[in-house]
Amino acid sequence: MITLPDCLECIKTRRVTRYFSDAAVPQEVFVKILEAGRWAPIAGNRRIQHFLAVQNRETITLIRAVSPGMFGHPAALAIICIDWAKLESLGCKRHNHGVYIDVGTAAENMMLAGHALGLGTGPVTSFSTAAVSTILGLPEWLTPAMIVCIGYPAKAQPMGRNVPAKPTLLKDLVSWEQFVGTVSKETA
Amino acid sequence: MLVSEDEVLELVAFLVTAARCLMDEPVDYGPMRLLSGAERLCMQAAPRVEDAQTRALLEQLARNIPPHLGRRNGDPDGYLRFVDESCRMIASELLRRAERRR
Repeated sequence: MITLPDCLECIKTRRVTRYFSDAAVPQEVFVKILEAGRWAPIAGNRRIQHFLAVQNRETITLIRAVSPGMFGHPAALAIICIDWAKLESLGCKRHNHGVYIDVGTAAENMMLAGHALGLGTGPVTSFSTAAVSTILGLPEWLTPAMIVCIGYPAKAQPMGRNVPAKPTLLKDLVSWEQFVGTVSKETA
Repeated sequence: MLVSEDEVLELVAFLVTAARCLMDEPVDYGPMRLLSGAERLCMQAAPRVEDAQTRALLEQLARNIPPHLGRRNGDPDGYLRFVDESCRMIASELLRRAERRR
């Protein structure tokens, strides 16, 4: 049974990995990561996603070429797609924000699982959906929403960590019981 | 040719897809993508550049761009200084090569 300290430690120590070693991700490990995505909390348990699991090096190279947000060369990709046909069959509109929130919960589960399994992971949303769809032969009703890069971290991470000058503390994020203040700090 | 046909196509893919992504992204991603594109070109071309000084400059840019991209939020002034200094170094190299051609 997982303990609370282990769970919180996993959350707090996970970092985005941008550069990966050449080592392949074992199939059974990749499956565990995908399985973690399957267990993510999803609105209404409606399952409007499809995961594309990519390990072919050539395909990854092609996807990287059309993904400016992908800096390194990951060994595997979990591409979280939205199934618009299924969404519409449920009566949901395309502008329903929950669709993208569900993508995020799946991605976070995958990244935490990857971290727990000793891998590095990094999310990428800076990619051309049109180009990625073309490379993967996706039908019109299935669009890629997020790419989770997976692999063993390279020894050198040339970009380091993108740490803001002023860390965001819990008090910056949380209002207790009622919102206090009227103007965003960014626009004040 | 300093870069292969595949490398040319890869760089074009990066630039055009970056242009599309930037239409929806924060403004500070613009300089980041341009610098990333420059880094990729430097990495691909530098080993094949004959002039030692030009090659050294491209290698230096390829080496220094990623860490500065990583610090753009934590040290925005340092990031700005780095880009300014890179512009100065590139301009000096352009001048040197122009003078050599005269």
